[in-house]
Amino acid sequence: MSFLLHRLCKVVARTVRRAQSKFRKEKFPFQHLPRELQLICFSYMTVETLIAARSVCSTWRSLLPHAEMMVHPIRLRLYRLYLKIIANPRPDRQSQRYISQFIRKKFNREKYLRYLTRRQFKHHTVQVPDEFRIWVLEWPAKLVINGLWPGLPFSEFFMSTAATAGASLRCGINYLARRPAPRLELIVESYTRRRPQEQLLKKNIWACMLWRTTWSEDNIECMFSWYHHPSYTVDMHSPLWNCETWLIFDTGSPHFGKVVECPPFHFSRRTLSDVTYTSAHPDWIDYLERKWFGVPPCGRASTGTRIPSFLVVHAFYDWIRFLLEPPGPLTAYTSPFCPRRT
Amino acid sequence: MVILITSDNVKYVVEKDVAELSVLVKNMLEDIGPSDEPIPLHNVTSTVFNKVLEYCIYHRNDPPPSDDDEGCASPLHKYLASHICSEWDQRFFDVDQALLFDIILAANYLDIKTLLDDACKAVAHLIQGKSTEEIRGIFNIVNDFTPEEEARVKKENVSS
Repeated sequence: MSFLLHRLCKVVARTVRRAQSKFRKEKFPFQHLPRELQLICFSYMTVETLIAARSVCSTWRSLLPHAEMMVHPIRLRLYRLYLKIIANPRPDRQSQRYISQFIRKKFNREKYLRYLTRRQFKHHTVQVPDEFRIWVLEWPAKLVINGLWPGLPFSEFFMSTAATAGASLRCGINYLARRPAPRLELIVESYTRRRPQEQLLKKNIWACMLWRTTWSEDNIECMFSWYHHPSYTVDMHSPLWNCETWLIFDTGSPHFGKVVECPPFHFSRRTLSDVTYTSAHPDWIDYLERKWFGVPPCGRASTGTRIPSFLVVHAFYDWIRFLLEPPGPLTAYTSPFCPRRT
Repeated sequence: MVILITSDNVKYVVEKDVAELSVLVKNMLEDIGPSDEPIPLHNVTSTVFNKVLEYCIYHRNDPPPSDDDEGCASPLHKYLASHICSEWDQRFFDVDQALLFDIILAANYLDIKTLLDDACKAVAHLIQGKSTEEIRGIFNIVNDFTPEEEARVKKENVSS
Protein backbone atom coordinates (compact mmCIF):
# COMPACT_ATOMS: atom_id res chain seq x y z
CA MET A 1 0.00 0.00 0.00
CA SER A 2 2.70 2.38 1.02
CA PHE A 3 4.60 1.41 -2.11
CA LEU A 4 1.65 2.36 -4.26
CA LEU A 5 1.31 5.65 -2.42
CA HIS A 6 4.98 6.35 -2.95
CA ARG A 7 4.59 5.60 -6.65
CA LEU A 8 1.60 7.89 -6.88
CA CYS A 9 3.49 10.71 -5.21
CA LYS A 10 6.32 10.33 -7.67
CA VAL A 11 3.97 10.41 -10.64
CA VAL A 12 2.21 13.49 -9.32
CA ALA A 13 5.50 15.23 -8.69
CA ARG A 14 6.65 14.44 -12.21
CA THR A 15 3.51 15.75 -13.85
CA VAL A 16 3.67 18.89 -11.78
CA ARG A 17 7.27 19.43 -12.82
CA ARG A 18 6.40 18.89 -16.46
CA ALA A 19 3.49 21.27 -16.26
CA GLN A 20 5.77 23.80 -14.67
CA SER A 21 8.42 23.49 -17.36
CA LYS A 22 5.75 23.83 -20.01
CA PHE A 23 4.44 26.90 -18.27
CA ARG A 24 7.94 28.28 -18.17
CA LYS A 25 8.30 27.86 -21.91
CA GLU A 26 5.21 29.91 -22.52
CA LYS A 27 6.50 32.84 -20.56
CA PHE A 28 7.16 36.09 -22.29
CA PRO A 29 10.25 35.49 -24.43
CA PHE A 30 11.71 38.91 -23.78
CA GLN A 31 15.21 38.03 -24.92
CA HIS A 32 13.92 37.11 -28.35
CA LEU A 33 12.54 40.55 -29.00
CA PRO A 34 14.74 42.61 -31.28
CA ARG A 35 16.94 44.97 -29.30
CA GLU A 36 15.23 48.14 -30.44
CA LEU A 37 11.88 46.81 -29.24
CA GLN A 38 13.40 45.82 -25.92
CA LEU A 39 14.58 49.39 -25.58
CA ILE A 40 11.07 50.69 -26.19
CA CYS A 41 9.82 48.42 -23.41
CA PHE A 42 12.54 49.76 -21.12
CA SER A 43 11.58 53.30 -21.88
CA TYR A 44 8.14 52.84 -20.33
CA MET A 45 9.38 51.44 -17.06
CA THR A 46 8.89 53.27 -13.79
CA VAL A 47 11.84 54.50 -11.77
CA GLU A 48 11.54 51.61 -9.34
CA THR A 49 11.46 49.09 -12.15
CA LEU A 50 14.43 50.70 -13.87
CA ILE A 51 16.35 50.32 -10.65
CA ALA A 52 15.34 46.69 -10.26
CA ALA A 53 16.10 46.05 -13.94
CA ARG A 54 19.71 47.05 -13.44
CA SER A 55 20.35 43.95 -11.43
CA VAL A 56 18.38 41.42 -13.46
CA CYS A 57 21.14 40.22 -15.76
CA SER A 58 24.22 41.55 -17.49
CA THR A 59 22.45 42.08 -20.82
CA TRP A 60 19.82 44.28 -19.24
CA ARG A 61 22.44 46.15 -17.34
CA SER A 62 24.32 46.97 -20.52
CA LEU A 63 21.11 47.81 -22.39
CA LEU A 64 19.76 50.28 -19.85
CA PRO A 65 22.10 53.19 -20.68
CA HIS A 66 20.89 53.00 -24.28
CA ALA A 67 17.27 53.21 -23.19
CA GLU A 68 17.92 56.35 -21.18
CA MET A 69 17.40 58.57 -24.18
CA MET A 70 13.81 57.39 -24.46
CA VAL A 71 12.82 57.43 -20.82
CA HIS A 72 10.65 60.32 -19.69
CA PRO A 73 12.99 63.17 -18.67
CA ILE A 74 11.68 63.43 -15.13
CA ARG A 75 12.08 59.71 -14.57
CA LEU A 76 15.51 59.90 -16.06
CA ARG A 77 16.51 62.62 -13.62
CA LEU A 78 15.28 60.59 -10.68
CA TYR A 79 17.02 57.47 -11.99
CA ARG A 80 20.27 59.41 -12.44
CA LEU A 81 19.91 60.83 -8.96
CA TYR A 82 19.61 57.26 -7.69
CA LEU A 83 22.74 56.26 -9.61
CA LYS A 84 24.63 59.22 -8.19
CA ILE A 85 23.54 58.33 -4.69
CA ILE A 86 24.64 54.73 -4.90
CA ALA A 87 27.90 55.73 -6.57
CA ASN A 88 29.06 57.23 -3.29
CA PRO A 89 26.98 55.66 -0.56
CA ARG A 90 27.29 56.94 2.98
CA PRO A 91 26.03 54.21 5.23
CA ASP A 92 24.47 55.56 8.37
CA ARG A 93 23.41 52.73 10.65
CA GLN A 94 21.39 54.83 13.02
CA SER A 95 19.19 56.31 10.33
CA GLN A 96 18.80 53.00 8.55
CA ARG A 97 17.56 51.40 11.73
CA TYR A 98 15.10 54.20 12.34
CA ILE A 99 13.80 54.02 8.79
CA SER A 100 13.39 50.28 8.67
CA GLN A 101 11.58 50.41 11.98
CA PHE A 102 9.18 53.26 11.33
CA ILE A 103 8.55 53.37 7.63
CA ARG A 104 4.98 52.55 6.67
CA LYS A 105 4.88 49.30 4.79
CA LYS A 106 1.49 49.88 3.29
CA PHE A 107 1.70 53.40 2.05
CA ASN A 108 -0.76 54.09 -0.73
CA ARG A 109 1.07 56.52 -2.92
CA GLU A 110 -1.74 57.27 -5.34
CA LYS A 111 -4.20 57.91 -2.56
CA TYR A 112 -1.75 60.29 -0.97
CA LEU A 113 -1.55 62.33 -4.15
CA ARG A 114 -5.31 62.30 -4.59
CA TYR A 115 -5.71 63.60 -1.07
CA LEU A 116 -3.38 66.50 -1.70
CA THR A 117 -5.65 68.17 -4.19
CA ARG A 118 -8.91 66.70 -3.03
CA ARG A 119 -10.68 69.93 -2.15
CA GLN A 120 -11.95 72.58 -4.50
CA PHE A 121 -9.82 75.65 -4.89
CA LYS A 122 -11.90 78.61 -5.92
CA HIS A 123 -10.36 80.90 -8.51
CA HIS A 124 -7.16 78.90 -8.48
CA THR A 125 -5.85 76.02 -10.46
CA VAL A 126 -3.93 73.76 -8.19
CA GLN A 127 -1.86 70.94 -9.53
CA VAL A 128 0.72 68.56 -8.16
CA PRO A 129 4.02 69.39 -9.86
CA ASP A 130 5.12 66.56 -12.13
CA GLU A 131 8.49 66.09 -10.45
CA PHE A 132 6.85 65.73 -7.06
CA ARG A 133 4.20 63.39 -8.41
CA ILE A 134 6.67 61.00 -9.97
CA TRP A 135 8.86 61.11 -6.91
CA VAL A 136 5.97 60.14 -4.67
CA LEU A 137 4.77 57.43 -7.03
CA GLU A 138 8.04 55.82 -7.98
CA TRP A 139 10.91 56.63 -5.70
CA PRO A 140 12.21 53.57 -3.79
CA ALA A 141 10.78 54.10 -0.34
CA LYS A 142 13.74 52.98 1.69
CA LEU A 143 16.12 55.39 0.06
CA VAL A 144 15.11 58.36 2.17
CA ILE A 145 16.84 61.63 1.42
CA ASN A 146 17.18 63.84 4.47
CA GLY A 147 14.10 62.43 6.12
CA LEU A 148 11.90 63.54 3.26
CA TRP A 149 9.41 60.79 2.72
CA PRO A 150 5.65 60.79 3.24
CA GLY A 151 5.76 57.23 4.55
CA LEU A 152 7.83 58.17 7.60
CA PRO A 153 6.13 59.29 10.80
CA PHE A 154 5.00 62.88 11.22
CA SER A 155 7.37 63.70 14.01
CA GLU A 156 10.51 65.50 14.78
CA PHE A 157 13.88 63.91 14.23
CA PHE A 158 16.69 64.69 16.58
CA MET A 159 19.82 63.67 14.88
CA SER A 160 23.25 63.95 16.29
CA THR A 161 24.29 65.86 13.25
CA ALA A 162 22.62 68.56 11.29
CA ALA A 163 24.64 68.01 8.19
CA THR A 164 22.35 67.07 5.41
CA ALA A 165 24.94 65.83 2.98
CA GLY A 166 24.37 62.17 2.39
CA ALA A 167 22.17 61.87 5.43
CA SER A 168 19.04 59.77 5.43
CA LEU A 169 17.60 61.85 8.23
CA ARG A 170 18.24 65.31 9.59
CA CYS A 171 16.94 67.59 12.29
CA GLY A 172 13.46 68.73 11.56
CA ILE A 173 9.79 67.97 11.27
CA ASN A 174 8.58 65.87 8.43
CA TYR A 175 5.50 67.79 7.33
CA LEU A 176 5.29 65.62 4.24
CA ALA A 177 3.86 62.91 6.43
CA ARG A 178 1.01 64.91 7.89
CA ARG A 179 -2.08 62.71 7.93
CA PRO A 180 -4.02 62.14 5.82
CA ALA A 181 -1.94 64.38 3.56
CA PRO A 182 -0.10 67.67 3.84
CA ARG A 183 -2.36 70.67 3.94
CA LEU A 184 -2.21 73.21 1.19
CA GLU A 185 -2.15 76.72 2.56
CA LEU A 186 -2.74 80.10 1.06
CA ILE A 187 0.31 82.32 1.14
CA VAL A 188 0.92 85.79 -0.15
CA GLU A 189 3.24 86.24 -3.02
CA SER A 190 4.47 89.80 -3.22
CA TYR A 191 6.37 91.07 -6.17
CA THR A 192 7.36 94.36 -7.64
CA ARG A 193 5.96 95.32 -10.97
CA ARG A 194 8.42 97.43 -12.90
CA ARG A 195 6.12 98.69 -15.61
CA PRO A 196 4.24 100.85 -16.29
CA GLN A 197 5.08 102.23 -12.89
CA GLU A 198 6.82 100.63 -9.97
CA GLN A 199 4.26 99.01 -7.80
CA LEU A 200 4.19 96.37 -5.12
CA LEU A 201 1.65 93.74 -6.00
CA LYS A 202 0.35 90.96 -3.82
CA LYS A 203 -1.30 87.77 -4.82
CA ASN A 204 -2.58 84.75 -2.94
CA ILE A 205 -1.20 81.43 -4.03
CA TRP A 206 -1.51 77.87 -2.79
CA ALA A 207 1.57 76.19 -1.47
CA CYS A 208 2.38 73.39 0.86
CA MET A 209 4.86 73.20 3.68
CA LEU A 210 6.81 69.97 3.41
CA TRP A 211 9.59 70.32 5.92
CA ARG A 212 10.58 72.49 8.83
CA THR A 213 14.16 72.42 9.92
CA THR A 214 14.51 72.95 13.59
CA TRP A 215 17.25 74.59 15.44
CA SER A 216 19.84 72.65 17.31
CA GLU A 217 23.26 73.36 18.64
CA ASP A 218 24.68 70.99 16.12
CA ASN A 219 23.47 73.28 13.43
CA ILE A 220 25.73 75.94 14.77
CA GLU A 221 28.68 73.63 14.89
CA CYS A 222 27.92 72.58 11.44
CA MET A 223 27.88 76.14 10.28
CA PHE A 224 31.26 76.70 11.88
CA SER A 225 32.74 74.02 9.83
CA TRP A 226 31.30 75.53 6.75
CA TYR A 227 32.69 78.99 7.26
CA HIS A 228 35.82 77.75 8.97
CA HIS A 229 35.79 80.73 11.22
CA PRO A 230 35.04 80.21 14.90
CA SER A 231 33.78 83.70 15.58
CA TYR A 232 31.27 83.77 12.79
CA THR A 233 27.96 84.92 14.22
CA VAL A 234 24.85 82.96 13.79
CA ASP A 235 22.45 84.92 11.72
CA MET A 236 19.03 83.86 12.82
CA HIS A 237 17.42 85.81 10.06
CA SER A 238 19.29 84.03 7.39
CA PRO A 239 17.29 81.29 5.75
CA LEU A 240 20.33 79.10 5.80
CA TRP A 241 19.69 76.98 8.84
CA ASN A 242 16.36 77.51 10.38
CA CYS A 243 13.90 77.24 7.61
CA GLU A 244 10.67 75.96 6.21
CA THR A 245 10.45 74.29 2.89
CA TRP A 246 7.49 75.13 0.70
CA LEU A 247 6.47 73.66 -2.59
CA ILE A 248 4.25 75.84 -4.74
CA PHE A 249 1.21 74.10 -6.11
CA ASP A 250 -0.55 77.03 -7.74
CA THR A 251 -0.29 76.98 -11.51
CA GLY A 252 -1.35 80.62 -11.58
CA SER A 253 1.97 81.62 -10.07
CA PRO A 254 5.06 82.03 -12.25
CA HIS A 255 6.84 80.05 -9.57
CA PHE A 256 4.73 76.91 -9.89
CA GLY A 257 6.69 73.82 -8.93
CA LYS A 258 9.53 75.70 -7.27
CA VAL A 259 10.78 74.82 -3.83
CA VAL A 260 11.28 77.75 -1.52
CA GLU A 261 13.28 77.67 1.66
CA CYS A 262 12.93 80.57 4.01
CA PRO A 263 12.88 81.31 7.72
CA PRO A 264 9.63 80.60 9.54
CA PHE A 265 9.01 84.16 10.60
CA HIS A 266 8.55 85.05 6.97
CA PHE A 267 5.50 82.94 7.09
CA SER A 268 4.09 84.30 10.28
CA ARG A 269 3.17 87.00 7.85
CA ARG A 270 2.80 84.35 5.20
CA THR A 271 4.51 86.41 2.60
CA LEU A 272 6.92 85.35 -0.05
CA SER A 273 8.89 88.16 -1.56
CA ASP A 274 11.06 88.57 -4.61
CA VAL A 275 14.06 88.03 -2.41
CA THR A 276 13.05 84.56 -1.35
CA TYR A 277 12.35 83.59 -4.91
CA THR A 278 15.84 84.39 -6.04
CA SER A 279 16.99 81.59 -3.78
CA ALA A 280 14.27 79.17 -4.79
CA HIS A 281 15.13 75.75 -6.10
CA PRO A 282 13.78 75.38 -9.63
CA ASP A 283 12.01 72.13 -8.84
CA TRP A 284 11.63 69.26 -6.44
CA ILE A 285 14.31 66.97 -7.87
CA ASP A 286 16.83 69.77 -7.89
CA TYR A 287 16.01 70.39 -4.25
CA LEU A 288 16.52 66.72 -3.35
CA GLU A 289 19.78 66.62 -5.19
CA ARG A 290 21.18 69.70 -3.51
CA LYS A 291 20.12 68.38 -0.16
CA TRP A 292 21.77 65.04 -0.65
CA PHE A 293 24.98 66.39 -2.06
CA GLY A 294 25.17 68.98 0.64
CA VAL A 295 25.63 72.08 -1.39
CA PRO A 296 25.73 74.82 1.21
CA PRO A 297 23.55 75.91 2.86
CA CYS A 298 22.00 72.51 2.79
CA GLY A 299 24.92 70.68 4.25
CA ARG A 300 28.54 70.95 5.01
CA ALA A 301 30.27 68.85 2.42
CA SER A 302 30.40 70.08 -1.09
CA THR A 303 30.85 67.29 -3.58
CA GLY A 304 31.81 69.25 -6.59
CA THR A 305 28.30 70.36 -7.43
CA ARG A 306 28.34 73.96 -8.51
CA ILE A 307 27.41 76.33 -5.73
CA PRO A 308 24.55 78.54 -6.87
CA SER A 309 25.60 82.13 -7.21
CA PHE A 310 23.20 83.52 -4.66
CA LEU A 311 24.95 81.52 -1.97
CA VAL A 312 28.31 82.83 -2.98
CA VAL A 313 26.90 86.32 -2.67
CA HIS A 314 25.59 85.45 0.79
CA ALA A 315 28.94 84.17 1.93
CA PHE A 316 30.76 87.11 0.44
CA TYR A 317 28.39 89.54 2.10
CA ASP A 318 28.89 87.86 5.46
CA TRP A 319 32.61 88.01 5.03
CA ILE A 320 32.60 91.74 4.24
CA ARG A 321 30.40 92.38 7.22
CA PHE A 322 32.76 90.41 9.38
CA LEU A 323 35.66 92.58 8.23
CA LEU A 324 33.78 95.81 8.91
CA GLU A 325 32.38 94.94 12.29
CA PRO A 326 34.01 91.96 13.94
CA PRO A 327 31.31 90.16 15.88
CA GLY A 328 31.27 89.84 19.63
CA PRO A 329 30.56 86.59 21.42
CA LEU A 330 27.73 84.38 20.28
CA THR A 331 24.62 86.23 21.31
CA ALA A 332 22.26 85.20 18.62
CA TYR A 333 21.10 82.29 20.74
CA THR A 334 18.60 84.54 22.42
CA SER A 335 16.90 85.60 19.27
CA PRO A 336 13.16 85.74 19.83
CA PHE A 337 12.58 83.87 16.61
CA CYS A 338 14.60 80.87 17.48
CA PRO A 339 14.60 80.23 21.19
CA ARG A 340 17.30 77.93 22.34
CA ARG A 341 16.15 74.40 22.76
CA THR A 342 16.79 72.99 26.18
CA MET B 1 -11.64 48.55 -49.39
CA VAL B 2 -8.30 46.83 -49.20
CA ILE B 3 -7.63 43.12 -49.37
CA LEU B 4 -4.92 41.79 -47.07
CA ILE B 5 -3.61 38.22 -46.97
CA THR B 6 -1.86 36.93 -43.89
CA SER B 7 0.92 34.37 -43.93
CA ASP B 8 -1.47 31.47 -43.41
CA ASN B 9 -3.51 32.51 -46.45
CA VAL B 10 -6.47 34.08 -44.73
CA LYS B 11 -8.06 36.91 -46.66
CA TYR B 12 -9.20 40.05 -44.92
CA VAL B 13 -11.24 42.78 -46.50
CA VAL B 14 -10.53 45.92 -44.56
CA GLU B 15 -11.70 49.48 -44.95
CA LYS B 16 -9.08 51.78 -46.29
CA ASP B 17 -8.79 54.17 -43.36
CA VAL B 18 -8.36 51.25 -40.96
CA ALA B 19 -5.71 49.60 -43.10
CA GLU B 20 -3.83 52.86 -43.47
CA LEU B 21 -3.11 53.02 -39.77
CA SER B 22 -0.33 50.67 -40.72
CA VAL B 23 2.43 52.66 -42.39
CA LEU B 24 3.60 49.55 -44.22
CA VAL B 25 0.22 48.99 -45.86
CA LYS B 26 -0.16 52.69 -46.56
CA ASN B 27 3.15 52.84 -48.38
CA MET B 28 2.31 49.73 -50.34
CA LEU B 29 -1.04 51.19 -51.35
CA GLU B 30 0.67 54.32 -52.55
CA ASP B 31 3.13 52.26 -54.53
CA ILE B 32 0.67 50.03 -56.35
CA GLY B 33 -1.88 52.76 -56.86
CA PRO B 34 -5.61 52.10 -57.18
CA SER B 35 -6.02 48.39 -57.84
CA ASP B 36 -7.75 45.46 -56.24
CA GLU B 37 -4.69 43.34 -55.82
CA PRO B 38 -4.42 41.72 -52.41
CA ILE B 39 -1.51 42.79 -50.23
CA PRO B 40 0.44 39.91 -48.70
CA LEU B 41 1.59 40.25 -45.10
CA HIS B 42 4.32 37.66 -44.77
CA ASN B 43 5.20 37.92 -41.12
CA VAL B 44 1.73 38.00 -39.59
CA THR B 45 -0.50 35.03 -38.86
CA SER B 46 -4.27 35.32 -38.77
CA THR B 47 -4.58 34.88 -34.99
CA VAL B 48 -2.34 37.85 -34.38
CA PHE B 49 -3.83 39.84 -37.22
CA ASN B 50 -7.29 39.43 -35.72
CA LYS B 51 -6.02 41.14 -32.62
CA VAL B 52 -4.26 43.89 -34.54
CA LEU B 53 -7.35 44.52 -36.61
CA GLU B 54 -9.46 44.76 -33.49
CA TYR B 55 -7.13 47.44 -32.18
CA CYS B 56 -7.07 49.35 -35.44
CA ILE B 57 -10.84 49.36 -35.76
CA TYR B 58 -11.25 50.63 -32.23
CA HIS B 59 -8.65 53.36 -32.66
CA ARG B 60 -9.46 54.37 -36.24
CA ASN B 61 -10.76 57.78 -35.23
CA ASP B 62 -7.96 58.70 -32.87
CA PRO B 63 -6.05 61.82 -33.74
CA PRO B 64 -2.69 60.91 -35.23
CA PRO B 65 0.21 61.12 -32.79
CA SER B 66 2.04 64.42 -32.98
CA ASP B 67 5.46 64.04 -34.51
CA ASP B 68 7.76 65.29 -31.81
CA ASP B 69 11.41 64.91 -32.54
CA GLU B 70 12.04 63.65 -29.07
CA GLY B 71 9.38 61.51 -27.53
CA CYS B 72 10.34 63.31 -24.36
CA ALA B 73 8.17 66.27 -25.16
CA SER B 74 5.03 64.16 -25.03
CA PRO B 75 2.84 64.73 -21.99
CA LEU B 76 3.50 63.01 -18.74
CA HIS B 77 0.25 61.14 -18.38
CA LYS B 78 1.20 58.94 -21.32
CA TYR B 79 4.09 57.63 -19.29
CA LEU B 80 2.67 57.73 -15.82
CA ALA B 81 2.92 54.45 -14.01
CA SER B 82 2.92 52.88 -17.47
CA HIS B 83 -0.79 53.49 -17.53
CA ILE B 84 -2.51 52.02 -20.45
CA CYS B 85 -4.95 54.75 -21.20
CA SER B 86 -8.43 53.35 -21.41
CA GLU B 87 -10.24 50.43 -19.91
CA TRP B 88 -10.70 48.96 -23.35
CA ASP B 89 -6.95 48.96 -23.92
CA GLN B 90 -6.44 47.27 -20.60
CA ARG B 91 -8.77 44.47 -21.55
CA PHE B 92 -7.24 44.28 -24.99
CA PHE B 93 -3.75 43.67 -23.63
CA ASP B 94 -4.92 41.23 -21.02
CA VAL B 95 -3.83 38.30 -23.18
CA ASP B 96 -1.33 35.56 -22.67
CA GLN B 97 2.26 36.59 -22.96
CA ALA B 98 3.10 34.67 -26.13
CA LEU B 99 0.35 36.50 -27.99
CA LEU B 100 1.49 39.83 -26.57
CA PHE B 101 4.95 39.06 -27.89
CA ASP B 102 3.55 38.33 -31.34
CA ILE B 103 1.50 41.52 -31.25
CA ILE B 104 4.64 43.55 -30.63
CA LEU B 105 6.43 41.88 -33.52
CA ALA B 106 3.44 42.35 -35.80
CA ALA B 107 3.05 45.99 -34.82
CA ASN B 108 6.70 46.52 -35.54
CA TYR B 109 6.42 44.81 -38.91
CA LEU B 110 3.24 46.64 -39.89
CA ASP B 111 4.67 49.85 -38.47
CA ILE B 112 1.72 50.85 -36.31
CA LYS B 113 3.35 53.18 -33.84
CA THR B 114 0.52 53.56 -31.34
CA LEU B 115 -0.03 49.83 -31.07
CA LEU B 116 3.68 49.22 -30.66
CA ASP B 117 3.91 51.82 -27.91
CA ASP B 118 0.85 50.53 -26.11
CA ALA B 119 2.03 46.94 -26.28
CA CYS B 120 5.44 47.88 -24.94
CA LYS B 121 3.71 49.77 -22.15
CA ALA B 122 1.78 46.60 -21.40
CA VAL B 123 5.07 44.71 -21.14
CA ALA B 124 6.50 47.34 -18.80
CA HIS B 125 3.26 47.06 -16.86
CA LEU B 126 3.84 43.32 -16.36
CA ILE B 127 6.91 43.94 -14.23
CA GLN B 128 5.87 47.17 -12.60
CA GLY B 129 6.68 47.25 -8.92
CA LYS B 130 8.30 43.82 -9.04
CA SER B 131 11.58 42.96 -7.45
CA THR B 132 14.59 41.75 -9.38
CA GLU B 133 13.89 38.12 -8.54
CA GLU B 134 10.28 38.42 -9.65
CA ILE B 135 11.30 40.03 -12.94
CA ARG B 136 13.64 37.13 -13.62
CA GLY B 137 10.77 34.77 -12.93
CA ILE B 138 8.32 36.59 -15.17
CA PHE B 139 10.59 36.80 -18.20
CA ASN B 140 12.39 33.56 -17.51
CA ILE B 141 15.77 35.25 -17.46
CA VAL B 142 18.82 33.49 -16.09
CA ASN B 143 20.94 35.41 -13.64
CA ASP B 144 24.30 35.49 -15.42
CA PHE B 145 26.29 37.66 -13.04
CA THR B 146 29.54 36.28 -11.70
CA PRO B 147 29.62 35.97 -7.91
CA GLU B 148 31.69 39.16 -7.54
CA GLU B 149 29.33 41.12 -9.75
CA GLU B 150 26.40 39.62 -7.92
CA ALA B 151 27.78 40.83 -4.62
CA ARG B 152 28.28 44.30 -6.02
CA VAL B 153 24.79 44.39 -7.47
CA LYS B 154 23.31 43.21 -4.19
CA LYS B 155 25.14 45.91 -2.33
CA GLU B 156 23.68 48.54 -4.63
CA ASN B 157 20.23 47.21 -4.23
CA VAL B 158 20.13 47.54 -0.45
CA SER B 159 18.20 50.74 -0.67
CA SER B 160 15.36 49.59 -2.88
